[in-house]
Amino acid sequence: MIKNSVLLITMLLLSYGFWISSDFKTVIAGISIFLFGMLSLQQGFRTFTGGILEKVLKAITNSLPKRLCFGVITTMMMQSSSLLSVLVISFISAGLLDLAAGIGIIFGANLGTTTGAWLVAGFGIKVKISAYAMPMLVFGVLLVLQKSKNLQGLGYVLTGIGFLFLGIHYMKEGFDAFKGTINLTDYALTGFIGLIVFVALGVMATIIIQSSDATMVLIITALASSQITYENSLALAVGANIGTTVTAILGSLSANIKGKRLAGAHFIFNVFTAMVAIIFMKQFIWGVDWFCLQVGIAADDYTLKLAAFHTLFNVVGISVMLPLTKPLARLLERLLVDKVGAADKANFLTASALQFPDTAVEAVRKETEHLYNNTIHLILKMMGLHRREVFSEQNLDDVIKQYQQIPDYNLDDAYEYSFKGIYSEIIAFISQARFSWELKQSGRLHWLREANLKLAESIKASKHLQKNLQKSSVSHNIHLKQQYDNVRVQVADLIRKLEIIKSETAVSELPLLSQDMLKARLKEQNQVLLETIEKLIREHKITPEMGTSLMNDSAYVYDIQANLMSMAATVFVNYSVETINVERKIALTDTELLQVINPQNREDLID
Amino acid sequence: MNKVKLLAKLEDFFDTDDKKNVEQIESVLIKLKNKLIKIQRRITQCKNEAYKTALQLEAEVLVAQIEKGENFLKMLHQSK
Repeated sequence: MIKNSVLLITMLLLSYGFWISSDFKTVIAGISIFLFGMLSLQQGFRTFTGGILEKVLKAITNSLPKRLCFGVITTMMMQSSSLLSVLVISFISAGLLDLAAGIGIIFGANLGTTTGAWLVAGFGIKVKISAYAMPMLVFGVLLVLQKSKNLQGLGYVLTGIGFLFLGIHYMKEGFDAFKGTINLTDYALTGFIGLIVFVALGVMATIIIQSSDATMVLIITALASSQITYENSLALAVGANIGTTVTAILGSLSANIKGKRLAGAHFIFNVFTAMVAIIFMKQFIWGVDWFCLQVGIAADDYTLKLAAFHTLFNVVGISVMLPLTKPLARLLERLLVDKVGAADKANFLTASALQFPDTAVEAVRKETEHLYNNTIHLILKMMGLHRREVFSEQNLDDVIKQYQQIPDYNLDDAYEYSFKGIYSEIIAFISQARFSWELKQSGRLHWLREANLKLAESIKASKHLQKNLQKSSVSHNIHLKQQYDNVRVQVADLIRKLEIIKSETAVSELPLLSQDMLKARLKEQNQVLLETIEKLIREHKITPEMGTSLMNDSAYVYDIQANLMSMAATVFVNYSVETINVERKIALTDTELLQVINPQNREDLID
Repeated sequence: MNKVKLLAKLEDFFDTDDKKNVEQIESVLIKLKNKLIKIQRRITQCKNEAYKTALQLEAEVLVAQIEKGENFLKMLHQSK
């Protein structure tokens, strides 16, 4: 309601402005075209880079200078820090980047945005750039209409730059035309009050326009047309730096707590830098004059001096804040506390993770791991066991002896409470993500969806097993009881081993082939169990009815184990290992594994 | 650059995937063989029968994997 009212009032005010002044209309149209150009440029980079940004981002997390350079160069190329902010927030939310690394990139992006001011002040104002805009728009639109994604991307980049140039041209035209009718410098304010008022105006303008780059261009064009004083333009630039954090804060609303922390860091950095600039404004002005004298910028070239000021106060801010990156990250972690993830709700499937293919895949992988934790909790409870003993180093036979009686456990309710909700959310998220991109990541998402299905199947098998397992725990037939206890040991043993594999994801050598050992052992255990059952029936130690139930249940046990193993092969294996494709080819099939465990083939192999 | 050199370079370029595959299989085979040697050593030293059986199964899986890998490598060489 409030949002709609604000929009309506803004539109009415703009309409009134257009009615009373055609020059005002030209300036506002210039801003709109400039913003549209930025959107087009971002769209172009998204299509054109096709995941390159994400790859580079993953590779540069290890060093601060690399992060800074990445922030500077990317923002310089895209002339907007918004896309980079969204990218970094998504990566942090998905856990692919830590907060300190994200802060480094955001610092770099802040410096990168200052290059825009240099370009506009040095080139945009002094050259008739609308002449360059027209051919760019023509070629850009031609390329956008092509089928090839790369050409389309290039087309969006060209139309984006074309619109940026056209926007600057209209802003300049509008302010130039103002000169004849109104002189805004009549409203100029001096002293500390002037500084504060114009900082506030800069903040407001940036919040309304939602882009500090567009505000900077507006300030530069107004300054070039002498519609504002140099001192007031410096204050406006400081305000634009504070106002831009609003975009980051709005972007972080759809992110999890990690993304919110980064937006917090961005806010603290920009507000701190602005404070430094306000307090030491006189020193900054002196510093800019000195710098311009050294590099040969004329004393009355105020647009370039503004660009120099913009860069200088950002450089000072970064120099002061850079050594404080880690303490700042720690402070934000303490201030914005991560709530303990609810067991029955999805913790990683945020809207911001959906923004990029890599972050979506990582979010689904982590959520599947979360669902796996819930699944093993259900399976262990169904067998009357607890995580703490199973994950300890205690002998599993002793653990089973400790919990002879299997208490009642409503598996249906537990499934509804701690499995189905998350499972449904994962499937919905994957459908949304697969709809958004037709990239190779959609293959990985397919396998993750299968992994979730395997977890559901393992619970289904547990449900079938539960009744007889409970009955056996109070059975007077010692042989039957012993076999069911063996079953519990086998399932618990696999869960224990998977926990070890899970924690070794990053370091395991030949991760996929190592799982063949476990698979072979499961098959062998199953075979031994079936042979034992036959023997017990033969020796009349259990009735044939008991034997058939046990045989059916051994199939369910194998289902539970095989499904958990299959899930682990997708979720716990480090797929970035270079040899993973070769491992896939060498990994043994079910038939090959059966041949291996066949006792006749076993002799003479170890010579 | 003469035609023969150019053709050789082109052939190399199109063969890169196969070459990479061969190198990776060879490196995986080396790792598997090293693993097998270690397990064989543990089998000879092991006195616990149950543990020995488990180790033997691991060794058998490794042997099967090595065999499969070597066959795959042969196939790649033959297809050249």
